[in-house]
Amino acid sequence: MRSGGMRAAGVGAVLLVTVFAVLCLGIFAALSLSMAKSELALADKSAASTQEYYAADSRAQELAAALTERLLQGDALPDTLDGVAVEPFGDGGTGCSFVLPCGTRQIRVSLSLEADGVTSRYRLLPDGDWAAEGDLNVWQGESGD
Amino acid sequence: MRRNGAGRTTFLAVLLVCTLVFALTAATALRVFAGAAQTAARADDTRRAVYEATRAAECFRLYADDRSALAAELGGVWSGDTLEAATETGLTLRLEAQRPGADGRVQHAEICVLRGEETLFSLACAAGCGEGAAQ
Repeated sequence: MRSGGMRAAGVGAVLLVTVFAVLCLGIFAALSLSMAKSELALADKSAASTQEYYAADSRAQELAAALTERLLQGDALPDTLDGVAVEPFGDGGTGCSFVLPCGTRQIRVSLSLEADGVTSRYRLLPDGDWAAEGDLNVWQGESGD
Repeated sequence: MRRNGAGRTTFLAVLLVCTLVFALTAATALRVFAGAAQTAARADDTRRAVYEATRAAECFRLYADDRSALAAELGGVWSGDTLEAATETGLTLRLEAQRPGADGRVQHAEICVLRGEETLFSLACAAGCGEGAAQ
């Protein structure tokens, strides 16, 4: 009886350890897969965003080059170029700007005619108006007085 | 004795079933681990490829007019209009520069990042080289 009871207790302990090990293995496997999948999704999003940005940038370069030539030659600036609205600024059409959508962002290019050529300014901005969050009660530091 | 024999048989049967269930669960978990490792490797490759392609695109924008400087910067050699370089991250970078058109204002490049013969990531970029276009 005594030896049989000892054997049963030994088998029970082994069983418990095995159940625990298999459970841990399963949980860690599921967590690893979940993390790897989310990493892959993030990497794919990053790749798509990069492709999108360079496609928009290439188009911006083409448009900027065409408009630069017009500015240098003193030609009249068009209202639209390849379906993109061109906004002139400055006196006598000495500059212009245009905006290209780039996913959730936009590329804003400004070209201005200077004495030594055309200066271009590229800006990558968020699409739409951005409003600062004002509801949070954040400590603003000690007042100056 | 008979009861002991029947009990032992039941015990062995339960033990066998439990062992099978545990073995199957463990095998499935190991397969899931292997799948997770493959997925993580793919994500890592994509990240590296995006990094290398972005770096090459920015170098192209800087050195579009100077092919030797571009080759030196990327650590590759030109073969016709194609620059091929082995990256530090163990991938192959292939940059195919397209000659500027008749107006010569903008140069284009197709950039591919490969592992062996498999294309991991590709992008097209352009660099302005118009006269008087001071960046």
